[in-house]
Amino acid sequence: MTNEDIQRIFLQECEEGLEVAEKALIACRDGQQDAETVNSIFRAVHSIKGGAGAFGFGALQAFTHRYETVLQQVRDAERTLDDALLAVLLRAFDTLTDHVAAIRGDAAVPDDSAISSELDRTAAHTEVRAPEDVAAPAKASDDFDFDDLLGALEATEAPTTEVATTTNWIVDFRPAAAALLHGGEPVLLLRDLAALDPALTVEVDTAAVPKLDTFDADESYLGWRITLSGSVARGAIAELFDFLPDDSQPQIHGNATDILESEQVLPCEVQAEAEPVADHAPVAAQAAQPPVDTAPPALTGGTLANPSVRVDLDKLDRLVDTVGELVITQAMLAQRLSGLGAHADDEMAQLDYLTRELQDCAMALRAQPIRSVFSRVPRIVREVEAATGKRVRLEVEGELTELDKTVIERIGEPLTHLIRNAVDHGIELPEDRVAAGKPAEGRVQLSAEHRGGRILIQVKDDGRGIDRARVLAKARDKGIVAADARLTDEEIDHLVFAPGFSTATVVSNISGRGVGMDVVRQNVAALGGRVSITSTPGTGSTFTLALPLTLAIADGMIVAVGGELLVLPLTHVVECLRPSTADVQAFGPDHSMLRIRGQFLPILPLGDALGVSAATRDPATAVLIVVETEARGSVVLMVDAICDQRQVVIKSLETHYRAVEGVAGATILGDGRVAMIIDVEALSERICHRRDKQAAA
Amino acid sequence: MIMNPWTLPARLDRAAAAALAPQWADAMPDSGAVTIDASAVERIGQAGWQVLLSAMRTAKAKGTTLRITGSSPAMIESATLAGLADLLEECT
Repeated sequence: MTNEDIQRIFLQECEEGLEVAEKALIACRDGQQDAETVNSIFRAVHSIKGGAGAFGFGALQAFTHRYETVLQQVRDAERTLDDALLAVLLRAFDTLTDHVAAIRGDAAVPDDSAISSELDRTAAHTEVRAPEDVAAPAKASDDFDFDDLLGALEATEAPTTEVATTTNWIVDFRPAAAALLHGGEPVLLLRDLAALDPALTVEVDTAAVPKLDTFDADESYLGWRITLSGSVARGAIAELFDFLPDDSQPQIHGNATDILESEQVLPCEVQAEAEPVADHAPVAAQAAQPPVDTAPPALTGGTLANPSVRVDLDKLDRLVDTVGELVITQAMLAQRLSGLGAHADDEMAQLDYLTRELQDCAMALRAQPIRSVFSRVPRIVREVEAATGKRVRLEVEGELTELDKTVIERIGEPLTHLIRNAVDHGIELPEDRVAAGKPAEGRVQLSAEHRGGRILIQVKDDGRGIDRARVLAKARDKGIVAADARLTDEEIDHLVFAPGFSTATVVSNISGRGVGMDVVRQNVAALGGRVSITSTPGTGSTFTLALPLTLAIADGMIVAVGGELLVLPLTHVVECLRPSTADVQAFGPDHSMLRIRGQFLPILPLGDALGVSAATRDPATAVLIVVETEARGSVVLMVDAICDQRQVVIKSLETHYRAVEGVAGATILGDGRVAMIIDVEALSERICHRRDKQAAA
Repeated sequence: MIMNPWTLPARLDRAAAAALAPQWADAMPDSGAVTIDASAVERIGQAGWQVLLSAMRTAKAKGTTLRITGSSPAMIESATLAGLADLLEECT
């Protein structure tokens, strides 16, 4: 394992720690201020500090130290966790996140001077423990802190009230004098342990250190308790101490209190009792039985092997690509066999099933929980709250919903904008809310769920809703809609996505620059998704993003236009029909409309748009496909025939050729032909735009 | 008699600790303040920390304030690894 690998693991552990700390801070803000919640914040920050020190991230270490000092005061009940203190802790948390981002290389090192001095001031307001006070007698606290034991009479007295539920390895290490003489430097061993688990915690017992007059430099006075993640193999820990004499061997055991006097560590001890344990029976009862008895069933399967494997993303993408090729080859094979009249239906069905299974597995590997995106939202809300003076309660649901990694990477920006928009424009000021008979604190709900082969992400606020009169006036003012246009409520709501639209009277740095919502729609559309709004004046608005599960494979309808085969993504298709002559109405010399259920929809000939001359021009003999678009609502595409409906593997045109307007990509069909995948949105917009210009001329 | 501030050597190992302990025991005043300059430290392990902790304990017993100043990066790194960073910070 290289230093870089270890650093990467440290960063991952930082992320996890930050997540735990943020959840706990929010829980505290919501009134859940029990010892365990406060402790979990402290532990997370403490772990990050430890790793930062080990890797020489000075700025991070210094900041976490300040942060930890205040947290320790809270934990030790030296001060109460009031709203003002929570605000400081939350701001400090955000800065801590920035520090971690800086190490990752995602951002510059933050300027933490203001918040640092605020933390220092906060810490100074209570009685900071001076070195003299450290010698206070050991107290039976719920957190084992050897610092507190300095000066205590009984060096080995352990607290008995520990109630831990996590599965960690506890390494109790008290080197004998001989170990020091033989080069067993504990600090170097601790560095090796930190390499196994950069987020380990180290507690040192200094109680046995004498005064200078009886000090013997050859003696060993210190003891350590090191807590490592249960995911580290016990053998790997024991191996580090292998060369030490017997009297300096550490005791390694699961969690805290079950110190088994007789337990000796052997490097290759790989039995069930070597599991980290998650529970605590009283020490007396436990001495007689192996700790595995107290472990939950889930842990008895052998945790020495890691339950997860880290895989390079390139390898994963190659797998997905190869599976895509397999899908294509399988379709080719099927076509060839049917052409030869070979009867291999059973085998082909089985191959088809297996290919789909393999494809699903490969796609699942790329899927990640949306949590990584959602976890950034609380901070955005806090920042907008601070800038606007609004008060918002954020409720998050469905964080574990999985979607494709690429979608996750690209959904952050649009989502950020929607959240800012909801708080900045949706939620009213506290006094306005109270006047409207609502609670002073606004509510923003963020949720994600799978529905019908798509992912729905919703941002819902209970604010004032869209002011339709104002939106319409603004849109007319800016020439986005004609002065005499009559729009439905829904159409007015969707005007906020129009390019250059903004109702904000003051341009703020939060939202309201007039580009945001337009960009949201574009970004979502680029992912093959759609965004929609529902809004009720006075009650709030809901923005819904509907996204595809994956960007690599799509359900497509294969249609013939002239001699060409094209693919229409099924997500846009509403219905297909062969019209009767009465349903098609000529509209000027070149255009026609389809009457369907009392509505007239423009018919757009795909062949014309793509320059395919042999395509049918008579709607009465063609197949009409009603598609839904964001910009133009329902429109009708005219094709010659529908050939098939199947999953297609999307190949990027940009990678292999160049971007072509109106074409979303290409795929390889069963017979080896390349078929273009139509970008329904862009193509219909282009045709309609051309017609609008012709009509104006 | 050693001068205030007491300077730590670059290599604070067992031999250095053995040499410093009797010097410090003699030099520790009965009140007032002692400053230990840790800026030169390049290597410090258990033996070094033990003699420093012993000095802290002796100072505390006498009611003397002991400060450690200018801790070098190596010193801070070692303190963090050994779980002594808080204690070092409190003496800084």
